[in-house]
Amino acid sequence: MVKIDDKLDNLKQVVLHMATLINNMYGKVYECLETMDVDKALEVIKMDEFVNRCEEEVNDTAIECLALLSPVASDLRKVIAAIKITTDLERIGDYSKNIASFVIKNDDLDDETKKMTKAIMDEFLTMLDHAMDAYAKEDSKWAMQIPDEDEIINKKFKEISDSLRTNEHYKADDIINISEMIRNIERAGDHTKNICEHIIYQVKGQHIEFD
Amino acid sequence: MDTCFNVTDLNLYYGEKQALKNINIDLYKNKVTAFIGPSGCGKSTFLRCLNRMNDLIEGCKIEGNILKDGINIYETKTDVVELRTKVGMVFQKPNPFPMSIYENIVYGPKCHGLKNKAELNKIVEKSLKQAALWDEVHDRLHESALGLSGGQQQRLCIARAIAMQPEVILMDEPTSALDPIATSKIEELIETLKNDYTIIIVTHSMQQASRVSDYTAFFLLGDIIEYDKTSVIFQNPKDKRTEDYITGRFG
Repeated sequence: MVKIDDKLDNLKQVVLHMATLINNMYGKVYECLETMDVDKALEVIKMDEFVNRCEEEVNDTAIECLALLSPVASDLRKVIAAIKITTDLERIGDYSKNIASFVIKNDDLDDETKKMTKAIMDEFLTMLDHAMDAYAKEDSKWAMQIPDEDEIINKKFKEISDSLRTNEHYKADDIINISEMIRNIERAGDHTKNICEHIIYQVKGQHIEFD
Repeated sequence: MDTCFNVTDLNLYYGEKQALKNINIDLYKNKVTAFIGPSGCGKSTFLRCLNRMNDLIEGCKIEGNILKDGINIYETKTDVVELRTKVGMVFQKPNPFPMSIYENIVYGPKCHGLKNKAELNKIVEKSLKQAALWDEVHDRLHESALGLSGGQQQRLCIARAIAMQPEVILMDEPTSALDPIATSKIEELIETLKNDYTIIIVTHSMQQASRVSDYTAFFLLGDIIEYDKTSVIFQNPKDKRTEDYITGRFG
């Protein structure tokens, strides 16, 4: 085993750990939405600090690799992919924080909106789970397919937006706020698509951009 | 892109042992090409083929073609001295002649019959300037070259090669005996020299190959396993053996 293998393995573990933390954040933020529990929402905001720390750890390890071990070829691509994936994960973490802030600032949602929000969040978490599994297995073929799942998220986002427009329960301001809150999940899906691009770059050395 | 050498079906034997196997490669003009590979893989042997330095080794047999500007350099009518003026060489250890800096530079031109003092002075200044050594030695040109530091001696050897106005400069691990500062000066020099010359360099340093070269060929057991732009070789090599070697996982 060459020295860089330890560092690369460490990078991968931190990236995967970061994804697990984010998964927990979204789990908790959904519970918040159910009950509009402000304390729990504050916990989610607190959890984001740990996610940010993971990003710093990945950056520090990556810089150390570049400075001391001069990685090339697939080693270099692994370092670059880890940096880029954590940047996307960090943004995904921020989106769950935004949803937590919504819980703190807004009143309860109606059952229909909760149900639809849960559905889109489930789709997103499944997509993120698939992406991180493809990363763990270094499976570029799978990473090519996962972005299709974003179509479902986009479709669901549109359905919720349409439904909100005709919802008589909410005022105009509420509709804007809820729509923005759900937009966070839609954006998180886009960042998961970016993660798939980074996995493909890491494994195949090819730059692919999904629409 | 213009080619400098077109090598086809080159095989080289040291007695019974085959050191180069069916080498096919085009080397490009005004580019830096690096040869990398583990010890004994044939990279220095191949480099020496390009100016027929292997002719001096007993029992060395060469088959195939090395075309320089369309003419096979292994044809019997090739003037080897003429070839070596066009294809200069710099070795691993700096090897200045035990004479003054000035005499080192004018040695080649003088051997070729140049006697005009003004011409020789011009060659000395131009060669030393191109080798980025002029500023350091212009006031002591008639002092012994052996008094220079290792890095300066190596640049003097490059200046000595340049004095013959070659088209190609072959470099066989030119910085392996130098400290990092001298190495960096030689690498900078290679970058500027490629505007006027084709440079082919053998190096054991992966970082050096990636820093200085435009193209890289990876040699293994007498074969060229992979030859491509340096950016491709060091970011996304096609062959697993190349990947294993450059990432230090070879063997």
